[in-house]
Amino acid sequence: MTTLQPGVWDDAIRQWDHRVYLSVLALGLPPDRAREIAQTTWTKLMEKHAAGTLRELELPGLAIRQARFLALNDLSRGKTERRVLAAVPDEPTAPDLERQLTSRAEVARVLTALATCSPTARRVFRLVYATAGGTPALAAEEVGLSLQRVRQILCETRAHIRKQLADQEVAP
Amino acid sequence: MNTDKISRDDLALYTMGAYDGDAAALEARLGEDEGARAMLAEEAELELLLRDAAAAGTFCANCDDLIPDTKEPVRCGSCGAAIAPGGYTVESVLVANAHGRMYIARDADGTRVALKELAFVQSPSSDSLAAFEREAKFLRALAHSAIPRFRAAFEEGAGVHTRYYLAQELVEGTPLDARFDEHFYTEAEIIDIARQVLVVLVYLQSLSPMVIHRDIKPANLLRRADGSIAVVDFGAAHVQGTTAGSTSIGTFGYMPLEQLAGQVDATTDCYALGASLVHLLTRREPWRILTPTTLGPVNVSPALNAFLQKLVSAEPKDRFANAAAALAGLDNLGKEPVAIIPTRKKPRLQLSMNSVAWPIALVLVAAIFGTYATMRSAMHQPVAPRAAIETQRSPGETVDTTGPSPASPAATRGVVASGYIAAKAPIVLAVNAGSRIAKLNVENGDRVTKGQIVAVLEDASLQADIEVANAHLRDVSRALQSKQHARAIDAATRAEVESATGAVEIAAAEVHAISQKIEATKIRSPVDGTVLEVLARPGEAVAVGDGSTAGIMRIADLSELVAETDVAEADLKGIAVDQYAEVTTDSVRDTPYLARVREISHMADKARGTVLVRAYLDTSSNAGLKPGMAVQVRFLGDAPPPRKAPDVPAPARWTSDAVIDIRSEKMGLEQLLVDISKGCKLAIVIPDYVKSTVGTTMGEVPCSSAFETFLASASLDYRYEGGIARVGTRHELAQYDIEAVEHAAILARLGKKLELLPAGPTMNLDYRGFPLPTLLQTIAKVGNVKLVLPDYVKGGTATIIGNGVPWNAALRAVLASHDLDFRYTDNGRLVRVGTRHELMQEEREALDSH
Repeated sequence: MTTLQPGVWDDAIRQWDHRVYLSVLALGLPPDRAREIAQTTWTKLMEKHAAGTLRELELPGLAIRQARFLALNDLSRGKTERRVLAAVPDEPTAPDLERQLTSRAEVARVLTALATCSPTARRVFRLVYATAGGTPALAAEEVGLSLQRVRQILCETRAHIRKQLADQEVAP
Repeated sequence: MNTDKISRDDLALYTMGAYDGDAAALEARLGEDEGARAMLAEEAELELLLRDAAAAGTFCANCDDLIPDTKEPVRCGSCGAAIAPGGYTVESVLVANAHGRMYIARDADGTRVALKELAFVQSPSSDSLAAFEREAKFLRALAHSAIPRFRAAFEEGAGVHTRYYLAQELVEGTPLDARFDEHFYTEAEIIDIARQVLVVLVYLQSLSPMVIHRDIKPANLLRRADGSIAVVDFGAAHVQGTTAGSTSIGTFGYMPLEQLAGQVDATTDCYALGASLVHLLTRREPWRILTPTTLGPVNVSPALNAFLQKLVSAEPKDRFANAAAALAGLDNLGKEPVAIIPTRKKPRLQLSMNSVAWPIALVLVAAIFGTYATMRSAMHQPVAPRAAIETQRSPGETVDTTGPSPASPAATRGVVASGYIAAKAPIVLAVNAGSRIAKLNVENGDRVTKGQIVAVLEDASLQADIEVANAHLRDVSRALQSKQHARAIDAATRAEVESATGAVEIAAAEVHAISQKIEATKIRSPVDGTVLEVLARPGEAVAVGDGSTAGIMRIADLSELVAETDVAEADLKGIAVDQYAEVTTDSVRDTPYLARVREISHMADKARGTVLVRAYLDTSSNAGLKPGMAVQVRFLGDAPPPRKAPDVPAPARWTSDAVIDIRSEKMGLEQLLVDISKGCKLAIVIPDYVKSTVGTTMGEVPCSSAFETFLASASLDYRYEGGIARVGTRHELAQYDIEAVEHAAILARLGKKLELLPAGPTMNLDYRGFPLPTLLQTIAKVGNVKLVLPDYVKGGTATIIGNGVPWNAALRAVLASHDLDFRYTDNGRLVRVGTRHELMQEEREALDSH
């Protein structure tokens, strides 16, 4: 949980905006609309914070929940397809216990799948995902590989994890 | 419109924010392509999942293995790297080796720190623990902007799992040696680096007790983004006086040689800084460019070259005394000359680039973060003082280190060079064949004579061989006899007898050859001399090869010592063979030893621009000098220096109120002295060379005046000791006086007193031209002592006249008049006689051993 003081929104947006954007994309919205929702999310949060209605800023959870709420509103107005709506949980503003457990189980499966990757893949993964400010470019510099190769490794790693997750879902 | 199918990888990269194509175009197509948008949603979901997993998972900062999700993951199961020691979250591993690791970690506040971990192969001893605590204690006390701030010290685990941690401020910088690929250091930069590091060293040396870093090297000098230098890694640091010097720590090549033996002082870090600067300038490791004694070519200005050369002088006394002095020297760079003492190119520690010693030494430098090294073997290597040379200069005189000066004022004022004492011809006693030492008959410092068996090699196999060879000889001898008998009865041919004879000769030769080998196992000294160093002990192999020693011992004749110096070519004009020189040691500067130049090398040292000059010391006055001692040599002219006479007490004079009537036309001086002796009741010893004649008629004259006048007329004098006057030439007597004083000084340094003969009966003596041995034995018999006379006391006669002369005074006077002396042993009342020089030499050698 991260608590922000007023006046440091820029840092928060820089740090969490992509994650908020992804959470909207994951609902099936087009990129341009997802970006609008992400921007709206931050605007609303800033307004609420300025109005004093937010006692504590828990980021990025609060921003993600707010974004998903806006996205679902958008979807419920029929601007998106029914298929996507079916995948949207009913109460996106607060994580329910079942969702948390599901998420935790999925994370564990990802880690299990990651453990079966090559050391280089794990290292690239850690440098990109588990290092503050990690990017493929920085990982390439750290590992001593070309950026193209690092991007390739990331794609292969994702494919491997995706396959592992799919296999686990199929298995009883 | 782009009709290419959008790939999943593109969408994956897009969600990662790593898509390198036209993102706007991709987004436009996604708005139109439902399938692609659904795929994008999956990838976005996966991306979020991966980010959650990355946040939830614990990765090893060293090997990137995933740490099992246990409650207290201590360290990685794959590589052993710590995960979160002491609450510090490890971010990465900078260095890892068998001794531990250096991590970059974050503390609870998110501040990045450098976290050093010390590990132990075995359970840490109390000494290790004490060393760690001591290091932490004084590191905590350091406060300097160029030194990383100490944060915490703690330990985790138990037994072999014990790990010690030191947390320090993380210095964001680049090691100076890591910039070689992208940067060439300029002279200005080097001076700046030197100044910054010296400021730190001045701070460390200003603490009480002084802190010595002991591992200054480019890797431990970090350049921050603002150009400031930070000195890091105090893992090898040393608080002066807190640890024994049995273990050496440091990095080979950067540390001075004495650090190998655990000896460090205020010059140690200055040397390492100099070596580091040379490394930065030349881009070559110091051990490649710094010979054991000197600095190789460095392309910098003469002033900086001189500064560096003084920093890396092999002898601590030739370096800047401390960091403050070095900093002052740096500040004055180009303003005042740096006194340079070029050092002699002589291998120390017997390390040579071509020998195996360097690789061994390198292997021994087991480093933790490039620091820790244990080179206990090296500290036992002999460390010969390095020769150095300097020209005597007036204060402030400029020293041009770039080449020999065309003018050589030193040649006229006398060249002073520093060097060291060496045996004239030291011998390493080796063996022809490989074997092991069975017995050692001598030890360091023992005197040996030519032919003396000093060691015996194992000969068990040779003894077995000779038994076989003897058996074979007996066998073939019997066969020969048999053939000879058979031949006598024509039962054997002549050829058969000759063949048997040949077999006997071969067998005998084999026996002889083995006998020679057995004889060769008895190692004899080829010279008279002193054992300088025993190189091998019983049980050790003494043949060239792995695990063996190349020699048994070093022997040298210490009665002949040489002062070896390197003289700059420019000063060589003032030096010639047979020239006299004065040699002084650090401990004895007031009374120089006399030497003469005997050898000037025909080859100059091209690198140093010097020539080896060897001055042989006067054998009669080299007491107290030992091979390896550092000395100063002042080269003089062709004439010996006026000898500074020691403070010799004024000789006692004989006085008498008696009067003697001397009336003689012409008579021998000896007879005249005998007459005075008898007429004036003066006991007297007259040497046999007093043969001149005198002619005079003096009438009645005082005895003492007559005695002294006649002696003076023949350039003679006397010494009156113990009631007896000993006559001799003035020079001879003066020399005796000086040597007596020197003898007393030697005895005093040995803590002994002058040996006196026991008191005893008096004698009435009237021996003229008496055989010396017989006279000495006669006197000894009266004194009830046993006289041991050397063979050379055979010829010669003595004249001694006097009544009531104490026997001991008579014996001493007779001996002294023949340049002899004695040593008395109360046990057995033995009086051993020898020449004065011979006996004094024994005491000089005793002083050497002492």
